[in-house]
Amino acid sequence: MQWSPKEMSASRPAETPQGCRGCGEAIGNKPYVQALNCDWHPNCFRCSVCQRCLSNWYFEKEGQLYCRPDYWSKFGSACNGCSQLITGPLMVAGEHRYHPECFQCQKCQTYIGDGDTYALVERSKLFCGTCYKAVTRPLLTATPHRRKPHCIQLVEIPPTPDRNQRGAVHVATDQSPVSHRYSLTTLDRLGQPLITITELDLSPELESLKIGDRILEVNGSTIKDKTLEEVDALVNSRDSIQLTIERDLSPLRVNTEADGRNTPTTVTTPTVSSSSSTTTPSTPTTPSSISENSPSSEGDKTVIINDTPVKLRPKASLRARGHSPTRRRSKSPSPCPPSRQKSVDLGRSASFHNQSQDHRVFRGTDLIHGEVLGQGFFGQAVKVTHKVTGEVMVIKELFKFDEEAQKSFLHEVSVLRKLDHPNVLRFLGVLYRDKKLNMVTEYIDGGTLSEILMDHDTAVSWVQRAKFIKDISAGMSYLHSMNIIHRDLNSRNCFIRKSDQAVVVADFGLAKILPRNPEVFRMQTEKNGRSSKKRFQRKKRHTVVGNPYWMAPEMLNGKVYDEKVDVFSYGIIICEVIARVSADPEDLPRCLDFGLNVDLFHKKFCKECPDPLLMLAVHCSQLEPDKRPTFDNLNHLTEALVLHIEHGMKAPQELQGNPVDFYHKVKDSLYADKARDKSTTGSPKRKTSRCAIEDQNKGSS
Amino acid sequence: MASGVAVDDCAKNIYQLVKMHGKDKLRYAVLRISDDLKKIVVDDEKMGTSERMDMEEPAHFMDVIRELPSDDGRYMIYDYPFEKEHRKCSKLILVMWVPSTIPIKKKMLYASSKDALKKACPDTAAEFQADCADDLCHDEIVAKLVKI
Repeated sequence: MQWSPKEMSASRPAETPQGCRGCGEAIGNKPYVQALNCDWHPNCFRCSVCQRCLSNWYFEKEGQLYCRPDYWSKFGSACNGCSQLITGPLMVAGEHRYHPECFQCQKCQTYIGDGDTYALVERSKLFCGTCYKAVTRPLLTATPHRRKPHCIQLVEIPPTPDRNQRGAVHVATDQSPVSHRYSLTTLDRLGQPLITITELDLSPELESLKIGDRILEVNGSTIKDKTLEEVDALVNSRDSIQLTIERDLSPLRVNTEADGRNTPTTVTTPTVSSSSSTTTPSTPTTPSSISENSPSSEGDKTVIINDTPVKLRPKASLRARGHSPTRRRSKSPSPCPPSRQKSVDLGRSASFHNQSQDHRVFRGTDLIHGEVLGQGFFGQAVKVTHKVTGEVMVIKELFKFDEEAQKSFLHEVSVLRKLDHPNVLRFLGVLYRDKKLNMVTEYIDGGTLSEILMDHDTAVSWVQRAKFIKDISAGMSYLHSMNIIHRDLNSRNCFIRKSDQAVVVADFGLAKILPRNPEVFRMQTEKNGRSSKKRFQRKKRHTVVGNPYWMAPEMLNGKVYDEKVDVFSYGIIICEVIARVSADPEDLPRCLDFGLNVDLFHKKFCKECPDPLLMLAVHCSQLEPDKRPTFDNLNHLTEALVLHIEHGMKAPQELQGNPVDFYHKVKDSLYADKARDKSTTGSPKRKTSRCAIEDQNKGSS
Repeated sequence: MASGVAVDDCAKNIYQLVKMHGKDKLRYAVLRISDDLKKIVVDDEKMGTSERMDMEEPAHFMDVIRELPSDDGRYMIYDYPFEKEHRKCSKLILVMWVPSTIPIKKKMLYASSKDALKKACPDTAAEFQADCADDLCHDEIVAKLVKI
């Protein structure tokens, strides 16, 4: 990201090695612009979006030039860290926005939470408060004459024992003299109030502040809608306060050319040898002026400026950015000269545009906490409402989650946020605060599947029940296709949407995202004996997580497991849907090997249950993980099952037959297999799960 | 943890007593899931006092195992002594005691909470599962411990 003013200059360097970077032609003795380590014809120096000639100010991202409004309309809603669009919760540093999981210290890699101190140096290098002190301060004191970089900081000012001392911070609107300290706030280029610190006491608590610092936020809320008096009162209040300040030594203050040249950042300063173009900021160039210096057709051929699609920068390059030679420094001049009045309006229209398009973007402070929806072992779920839009969401506060697990979870946030399926709870993002992870998700209004099933006063038709389990399998097959094992699938994590009674699979607190390795793909395509062996290798020992009632036997026994644990949990949910009892083994009969006790279950609960439905439960709750069907498979089976129950169509082949007989057949063959395994030392060749199921069906039908 | 069963602080403390050396050292500690199924606590009756410390191995270990209840599950942390390359040493082992007669629900809870206990007791070298005293034998335990 780059935002830099072009500096006017009548002098030019001794030599110009290349031609214009825009059109490629030699520049000759004409006026030129120097920017991005290159020279440009003033007429080739254009915004890559609107093609207007850029004058005093330009933005640069990935070699492309932008005018201010176009930059913010294109990247304003993008994360300053990873360049991806932001939806859901975000962190804000000045006018820069970040995904909470991208708001990470460049040095120590810790995630900076809401309310933690930080410093954003030169609009790109983000440090946590500790690292900023450790790294940047000694550097600055070692070279005191170096121009101080632009910096947005959140500083915490501790409460002072002697309260009167705090009165020593004086704030004022930027352009008003100190004597008019309590006048109305003025607006800067962006239509934001501009309040700066004008007087400062020399107490040690205030060492992080400097005169001239512009106050952006006090205690996490912007000063936009506050008067100067309110800010002044807040700043000088008795409690410890958090200030977000922008320290910006503008180029206008350091306006001697030599000074600007000699700083290490002069490469970023474009130079125009003629001041003529600067007097017409942001105006479209006339065709005649284009032809004068560079024919537009030629300009179009070059990839640098025109019509090149902007690639999103991969996250990994975030760190490299700081060292890249194209790294620019930005300067914002204050006060704003009247000649730039036009861009003020453009800036405002751009910010208005942004607001209209991302109503889903919000900060932690924008949310009003409401009722507690539920309390789990790891934390609690709280209903929240957005202050402005009124959108209802759920924040899951995880207070009993160990820090390591949180950090590894934060790595997976970007994957979870991309999930989009009608039967999967929309994951909006995370908020990190006080080293605690808060997950923000969509709110589903109809309660949990468990609540509906246990409410015996309302009748639930068999068609409706079949639709419930069809919805879950649709959501789960989507999750598995994204390589996510849920690991905590149960009826309390399935929510019902009131409007269409659709089931939404929720709660990814324990989800595990499998690494996407080539074996997975091979496994899906191959259908011979080798494929199951591949999947065996892929199985890894993960930690034992989830609720024990729904937990697959292999997980309970501490063995390796894979995504098939979710299928077992799904089998238990089907039993709950059939019997409308809780999954507690005291209600739902289970065997000593943790499997389902189909004999007892059938006797107790299945007087009205359609046989294919129980058959499905038996298939899913098999002890042998590889014999359980995949959710892809289950998706087709449950769709056919709904048609079977609703319209009397023929049940799919796999679900025909007597479930109890099938259960005994599977169990007998499993124990026979085990006995054989023990007797023969060599590993017997296993059949793939699909073949096995088909074989068993042939036998049972 | 995953099962909703947390490791109580008293269980963590007694683990430290088994782990440490010195005069307050315990040879073993027996833990159980509390009656409200919320946390893993110390089984008060069996603390593993030091009076029988000098007793011959593996007789002492088997004695303790035989005293475990036949109608409930238990966890036991035991500082198991053995000889490796003719040197005497000892290592902590975790025994999960789940008799086959106990309700399946208990069995599930013991199985699913073991990970949380293992996390709270990171220095246990090996773990064993037993549903009766015959499941454990000295040679097998030593064979497993020597490998580590």
